[in-house]
Amino acid sequence: MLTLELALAGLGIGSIAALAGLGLLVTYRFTGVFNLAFGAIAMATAYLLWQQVHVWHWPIGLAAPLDLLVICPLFGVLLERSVFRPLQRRGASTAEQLVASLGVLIVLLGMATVIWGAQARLDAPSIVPYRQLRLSGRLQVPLSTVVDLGVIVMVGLALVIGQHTRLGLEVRAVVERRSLAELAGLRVNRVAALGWAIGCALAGIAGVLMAPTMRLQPQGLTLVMLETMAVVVVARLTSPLWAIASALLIGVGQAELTRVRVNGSAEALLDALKSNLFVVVLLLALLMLRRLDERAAPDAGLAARLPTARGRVEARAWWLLPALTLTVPVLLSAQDRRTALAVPALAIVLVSVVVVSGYGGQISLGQAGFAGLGALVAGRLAAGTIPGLPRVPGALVLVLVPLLVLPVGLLMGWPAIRRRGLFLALTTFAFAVTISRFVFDQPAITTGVVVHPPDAFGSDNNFYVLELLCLGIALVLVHNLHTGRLGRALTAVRDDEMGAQASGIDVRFLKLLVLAASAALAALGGALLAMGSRAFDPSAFDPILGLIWFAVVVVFGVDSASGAVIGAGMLVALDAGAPSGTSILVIGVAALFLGRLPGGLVHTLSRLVDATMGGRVAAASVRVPVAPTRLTPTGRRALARTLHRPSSVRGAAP
Amino acid sequence: MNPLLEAHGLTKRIDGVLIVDEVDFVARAGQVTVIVGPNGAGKTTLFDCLSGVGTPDAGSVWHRGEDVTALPSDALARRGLARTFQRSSVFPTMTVADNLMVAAESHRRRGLLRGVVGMPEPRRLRHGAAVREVLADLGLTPAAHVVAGELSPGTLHLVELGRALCTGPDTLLLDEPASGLDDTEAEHLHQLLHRLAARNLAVVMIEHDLRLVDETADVVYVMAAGRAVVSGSPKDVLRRADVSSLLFGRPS
Repeated sequence: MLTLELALAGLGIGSIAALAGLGLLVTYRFTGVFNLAFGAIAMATAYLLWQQVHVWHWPIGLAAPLDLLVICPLFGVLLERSVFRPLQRRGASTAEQLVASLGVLIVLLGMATVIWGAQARLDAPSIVPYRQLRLSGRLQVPLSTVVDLGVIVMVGLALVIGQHTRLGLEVRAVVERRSLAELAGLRVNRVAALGWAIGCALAGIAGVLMAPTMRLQPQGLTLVMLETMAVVVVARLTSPLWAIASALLIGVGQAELTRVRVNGSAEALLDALKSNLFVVVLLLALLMLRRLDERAAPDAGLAARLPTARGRVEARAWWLLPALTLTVPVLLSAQDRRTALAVPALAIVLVSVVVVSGYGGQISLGQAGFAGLGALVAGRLAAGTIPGLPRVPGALVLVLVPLLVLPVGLLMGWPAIRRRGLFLALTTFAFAVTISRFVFDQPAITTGVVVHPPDAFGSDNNFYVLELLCLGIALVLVHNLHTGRLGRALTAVRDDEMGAQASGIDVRFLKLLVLAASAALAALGGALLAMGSRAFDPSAFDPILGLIWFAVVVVFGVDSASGAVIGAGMLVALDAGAPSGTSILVIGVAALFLGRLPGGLVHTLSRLVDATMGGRVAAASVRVPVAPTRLTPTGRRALARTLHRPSSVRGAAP
Repeated sequence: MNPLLEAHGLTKRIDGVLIVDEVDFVARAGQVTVIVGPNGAGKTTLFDCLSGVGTPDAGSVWHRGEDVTALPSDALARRGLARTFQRSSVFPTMTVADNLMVAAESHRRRGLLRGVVGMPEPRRLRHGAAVREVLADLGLTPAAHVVAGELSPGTLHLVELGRALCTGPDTLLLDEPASGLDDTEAEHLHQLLHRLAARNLAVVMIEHDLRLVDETADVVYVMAAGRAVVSGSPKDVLRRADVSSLLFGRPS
């Protein structure tokens, strides 16, 4: 009996996850955009309902239909119109669209935090009154579970029936080949708008159903919703039935696990498993699948690419700006200077994103995991509580931390070698969530971990100098990764893997190198972050932060190390000086406008300066050597193009 | 003349469909070997198997007398077997010169990590001169510092050929190198390929323009439906009635 009761309880959570997954899947199949924002849309809808019911005292019978059937679909249509349609018109890559959806997620997260605060609320309104239904004998089932299941059956039926209508046929045509469907006169935009409307409505429903079962908190609820993308991955981004089936299975499995009891050290692991089966399935599915049915098949090689500065080199003068960012703390009061200790540390973490995404061309959403590991290892090394390792004194910790986390980077790099684009992005994110849930959230591992700066650098001033030193070394290493033979090889791999391999470059080795180096850097930054605040705080390395850090780097220029330093300064300053959530909001808005800032903020600025000082650039382009001998017609044409388009030429002679 | 590249019984299926069917193939140093055949005959897939981009399901590939069937394409490129692609795989954010430089530097694997700690490349490993020479050979010198993403498709094929040459190859596999070039340019290119073969390289290419094939090729392979149906000198092969009906869909 108990087993059956648990299974019924599990079906409740399972069907909510199925709804969220279906929403994500519908948007993806209809439009080709993997809408990471669905988690935040669910969260924001739950908050909106809370506001209407608890603050404005609307009857829930009016508010809920309004939110779910009108506001959510309209929001979806608005997103399609204002954000994603322009991107697709421009032929933006998968990576750019992923960043835009990340922008939407971050904007909603920032808005929710600014309006409702970051604290958790326990009184999320439930649209289903709490009642137990008696099935037979002692078997009872909550009414909400019945409703959840009813909704998922209805949505599933609607999808199956919808496939056989005229509209369903149009959708399938658009899904198969968007450009051809457009040529055939199909209303591609309407299909896309429909996909967004359904996706957002389902996300909203899932959020409203999910919120009463847990706490209402911006980051927390968003992350829980994001974890349900496990079911979409199990469905290989294709089959809605698989998504529903796996969601119900995981839900039931999670509920049944509460019956299992073990003793000893496995108990903590089991406890973690009980509440995190979705995360485990997400990671396992990503590791075991050989490929996802990604929509961007025809130009998969190009699809992963993020907009970069296209071969432009930053002028040295640009380093003035980050240098200025780093000298500001010297002028601050002692109180503010303590806050500013986070700037160089965060800068190192952001530079680690530049290494993996800007130089390596791999989307990594999991840097928060490595940074947190770095902080944890630093604290336990200094205390001597890592089994098999002695107590490590002082600054030696900072040398060992990157070296100890580097193998973890290699471990994650191994599956990452064969993945790219969306697949890799999801894998890195799943990795970070797993580390967060199974390591950072485990009291046995993290309670009582104190992270102190090395003795000689105990005062804030000395510690700041130490941080600058670390940042300096990191920047020099990163600079070396980007120049000379190694830099050229890495750029080649980022630009075209097949071409790089055909040129004799060991692509796997370089990818591993980049991922490992980036993990080590993130660990160093994380250790310094924790030292600055004197403690290991799991929430400082929340997986959602990994998403935000990635967005910051893309906004400031994905291959710009100086941009990363400026970005770190801005993030810390806004967090300290403005209402909580403002920094997230700013980054989110900037990410949405990324289409207007090709190559990121720093490169856009430097281009503007170049344009106003045009004379200097033009003078440089004349120095292109002209060899009069043996010009083929192609060569002559290339030469003409060179001379007529001075902006495309890099100055230096060979 | 010694065979540089050999394949025996190469077979490749993609999603269960037989694309390359027991192909035997030889390319010799100093010769231009051309593969012709209608679209979908399996020419590019054969190239993929030969160059390590895809592993064949059956059969073996031999380069300079050694079995290289299982080697990945980067190892083959370092051995001296270079290839170009039908769809450009040039590095679009790098200049033309840097594109070639990457290939020249990757000929040796060692010393790559030297740069991490800021050590300069030793003088004997600098490849500027070699790159300049290839650029001049291809008439690309004026475009050396143009970012490759801004070039026309025809020029990109030249850059890709240059990149292949910079790996220091003894065998060149070129997938439709003349596509995107106009007649004069294509003729220039074929003269260049002839000169390369004269330097004792084995040049293998896929080409559709039969007039050029007739002029340039030393050996022609005709592929159809995954099989190498005929091979021999262009004079013999291209004038056969069955071949021209295969290539043109009607007897000539």
